[in-house]
Amino acid sequence: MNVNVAPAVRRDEPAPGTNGVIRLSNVRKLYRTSELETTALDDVSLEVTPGEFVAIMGPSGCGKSTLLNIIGLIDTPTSGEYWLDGAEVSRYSESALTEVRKRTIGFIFQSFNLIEDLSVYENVELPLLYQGMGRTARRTRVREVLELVALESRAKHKPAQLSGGQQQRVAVARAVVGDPKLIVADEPTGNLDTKNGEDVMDMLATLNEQGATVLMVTHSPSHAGRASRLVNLLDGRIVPNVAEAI
Amino acid sequence: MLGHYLRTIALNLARSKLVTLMHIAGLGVGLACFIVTFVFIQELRTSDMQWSNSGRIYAITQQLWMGSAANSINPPNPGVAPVAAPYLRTDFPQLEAVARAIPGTVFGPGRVPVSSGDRNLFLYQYMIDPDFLKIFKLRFVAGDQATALASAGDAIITAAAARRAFGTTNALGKRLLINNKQWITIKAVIAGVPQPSHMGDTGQSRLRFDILTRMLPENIISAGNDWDEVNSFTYVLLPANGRFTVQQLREGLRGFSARHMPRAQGHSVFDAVPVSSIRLSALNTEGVSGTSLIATLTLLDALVLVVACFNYASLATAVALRRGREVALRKIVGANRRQIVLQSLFEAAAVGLLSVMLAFVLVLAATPLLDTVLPLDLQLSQLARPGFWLFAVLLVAATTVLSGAYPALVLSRLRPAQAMRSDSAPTARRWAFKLLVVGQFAAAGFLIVMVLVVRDQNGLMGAELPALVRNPTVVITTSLFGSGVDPKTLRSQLVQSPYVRSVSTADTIPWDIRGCCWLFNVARSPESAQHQIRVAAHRVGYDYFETIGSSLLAGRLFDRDRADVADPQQAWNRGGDLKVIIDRRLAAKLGWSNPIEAVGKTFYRPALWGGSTTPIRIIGVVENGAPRLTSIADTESNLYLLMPTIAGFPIIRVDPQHIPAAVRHIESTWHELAPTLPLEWRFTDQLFGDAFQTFSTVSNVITGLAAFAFAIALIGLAGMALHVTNGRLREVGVRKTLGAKPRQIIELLLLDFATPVAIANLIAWPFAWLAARAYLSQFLTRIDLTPVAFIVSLIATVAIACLAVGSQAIRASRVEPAVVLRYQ
Repeated sequence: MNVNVAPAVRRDEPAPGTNGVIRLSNVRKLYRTSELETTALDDVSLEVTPGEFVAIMGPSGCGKSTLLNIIGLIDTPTSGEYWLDGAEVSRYSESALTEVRKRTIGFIFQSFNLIEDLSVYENVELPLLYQGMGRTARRTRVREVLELVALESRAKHKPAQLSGGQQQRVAVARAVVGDPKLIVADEPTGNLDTKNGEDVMDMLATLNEQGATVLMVTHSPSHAGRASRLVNLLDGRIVPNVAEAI
Repeated sequence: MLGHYLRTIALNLARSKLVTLMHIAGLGVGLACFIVTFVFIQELRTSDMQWSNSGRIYAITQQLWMGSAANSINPPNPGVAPVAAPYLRTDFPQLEAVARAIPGTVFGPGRVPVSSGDRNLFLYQYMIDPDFLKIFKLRFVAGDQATALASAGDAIITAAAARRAFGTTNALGKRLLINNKQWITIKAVIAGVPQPSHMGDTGQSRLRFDILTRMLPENIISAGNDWDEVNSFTYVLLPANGRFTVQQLREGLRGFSARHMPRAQGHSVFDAVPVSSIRLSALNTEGVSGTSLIATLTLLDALVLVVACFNYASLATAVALRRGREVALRKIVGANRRQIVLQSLFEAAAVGLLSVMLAFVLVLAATPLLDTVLPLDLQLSQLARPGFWLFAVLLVAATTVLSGAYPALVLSRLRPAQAMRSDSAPTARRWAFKLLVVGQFAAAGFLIVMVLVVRDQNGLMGAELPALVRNPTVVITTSLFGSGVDPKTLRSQLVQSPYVRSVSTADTIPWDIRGCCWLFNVARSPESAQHQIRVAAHRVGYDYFETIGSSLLAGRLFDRDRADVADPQQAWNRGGDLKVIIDRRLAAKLGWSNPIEAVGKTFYRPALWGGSTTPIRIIGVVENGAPRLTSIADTESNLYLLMPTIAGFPIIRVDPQHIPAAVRHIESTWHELAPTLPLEWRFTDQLFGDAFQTFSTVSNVITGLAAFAFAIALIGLAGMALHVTNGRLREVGVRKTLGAKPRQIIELLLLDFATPVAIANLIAWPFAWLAARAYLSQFLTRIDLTPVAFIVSLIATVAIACLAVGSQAIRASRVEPAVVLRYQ
């Protein structure tokens, strides 16, 4: 993966032995208030190679979403190292993280998180706008992606006019429109019925087959079963098997 | 990208129509106030730029310290002793021209009665040196500039005045009788002075003239070497070749007083100011109507604009944080901090632009009203100047930055992961909201205190009115001074009417805030140079106190059978004492708290001009209540000198049951004695009303601005209550689940909003106290500054704020816990 950014703090040389897309080393994440300190992630180390489809499972509050947020560069670890494509990104400035994120990562959320005032087309177009892509190229790419998720006829609709399944397909389209190498999906089927859930899983599988690395948080064992690897989390730590750990 | 910004702005503005309207209305009103002030001040600043050599014209200023007095008698303004001009010519031979302009009347602004034979009217006359015409290139409609003032008795008249005096502008060679004694011949007719200028023929003109006559030595009162008659405009024209600069002139003026002004008279500081600044500086030295107009309006306008911007900032931030998830999402899909800031600032700029447009509409719609209510004389032609549009762009930019910076900062620092977890505003920033509320309501609280103080003060002054109406008194505003009408004859004929109760005269028109009295310093002992008291000396005729209804506390009043007539010049220069009547306040300041103790005592006027210390003997003490409203030059104490020859304005108290008959008698008597002098008269309650109008206007301005500021702040508070309450619905749900009653929820929310409002009010108190004290110090009689206004302001502000947020609090208290906990 080529990440063309100019981070505030940069170590261009890959660490010895680091040739994977993602490598977390002893990552801790603490949430502090004036009275309380909560450990969300505790000494997590994880390596994900390009093209992997990783499912993350665990009980509520075990740190799944926190881990996904850190991997997706929308949160930073309290300590530890996070290597992405050979660069240590945990101490990047916010602007550097934004640059990496918008060119590398696509997000899919459980609750879709579409902007209600924007049309389907505009929602999908948004990442390309922030990437600074030209208008014509943008239009072509958005139509292409909407066609992939079979929503080209709904381009002018507002999210509220779509079903839940359709909305998540729009979210998938928005996640992939920038051609990211990494797709981060936080319970993408959580708000969908079985049929629509399966459709979304099919899409993720297809994207993975086309070369994208996929990291997915899920509560569904069957959906986790479609991943190439399963990571179990419990109380902020990676464990071999949740049932055994308990 | 720009298109996307614009589309998002349109969507965001349309999504919260009510909030958008609140934004635009609040900012629009604030900006409208600002534009009005800009136009007004801009007009003052660009005054007198139309003269071909305006860059080389300067006015001399003189600040005067009389005798050994520690305080100067006047601020540095363009009023200079006429005696200075010849010395300027000799000291600075490089100057192309030096010219004076002195009003045609000894007292007052130069308004003189004139007669063309068949028409009697008042015109404004200034006496000028011929070089005045070299400095100011007036446009001659008829006649020749070179010969217009060649000899004594020559005059220049404006075309408008010529039409009034002669019915035609073809006035060359025609004659006018000025002040019933001096004939002048019209040698030239000029067009009106192009505006804006400090000169002209309107009430706004500092140098107001209809006719210009040649200045003669005998025209100058105190033709001797007197430096305290600071009544002349003195202009200089720098050479065009640049060999003598204004810096050199100003340096040379530093030693001017030491070189020429006799030390015994005191000392002065002379300086030179550009002609373009005269109008502005004049407004700043005309007492309350000048100082408060510029300073107060600017201050209050700035307050209103700050309130409006704070209002926008707080409301926009509240709204923006409700969109925190959307912004976080934009960041997740690639928006960087700069793009988020730009989006927010674009939105503020759009609101700012719409607000400026609304402000223009408001200004255009309100200008006719403003011109009638306020002494502004707005020139909306200022709006057509390129400078104005630059100002408008800067205004939008400044408003955008001022109001949009905070929401932009908050949104740009939003952490996506945190925002995606919760829709509520981060608790760490709740204090920032409160700070913005405090800012708005501190300004509003300040204004409310000022409103209460100003209105109370006006109420106190207004209490004078019933007595004036009960005792109707006519004041003839045509001065007898130098008019040829004998005051004794006039009086003897007036009192023949059974409806005329008493007749007297005074040197100034009662209640006139533009003209007051003669100011000098006095002391209890002849040696005392340190403990001098400045007094306002009123030169009056016989029966003055009986006529104006002032009561004698001790001693006696002026008596025709005694030698009470004062001759100050003789007393100053050749010795002798003066007999005076003083008021209770001056008696107390001199150390006699009981008026009876003061009678027969002597105090002193320190030696001046090489003369001797003058003893002043008190023959009587009267109650406070000189017929004036303001404390001119910090002077509250009054003394009265009997000087019937100087006191030129007749004051006639008439029978309240027979006012029309009394007035008919006054008019017929006047026309009989002075057939060529126009008669103008006013009742004292009308004169009082004219003077009171200024303060009524100030009160209206402050009330209006306070109302705007308060309304804007309330709009902001109500809007924020809507958003903050929505953000706390989950908390309310939890509290209700745990057993909180609706009343307790309402109390909780109201207390949360009322606390910063109350703190804001308390913060405003010291500032309001200082401002109120400064305002009240201008008045002769003033209210006591008690805590009442401050407490009323606090209670009213908190109560109205609670009403504004009450509906939201009630709505929140009625939520069903199951509903909000399920959906939040």
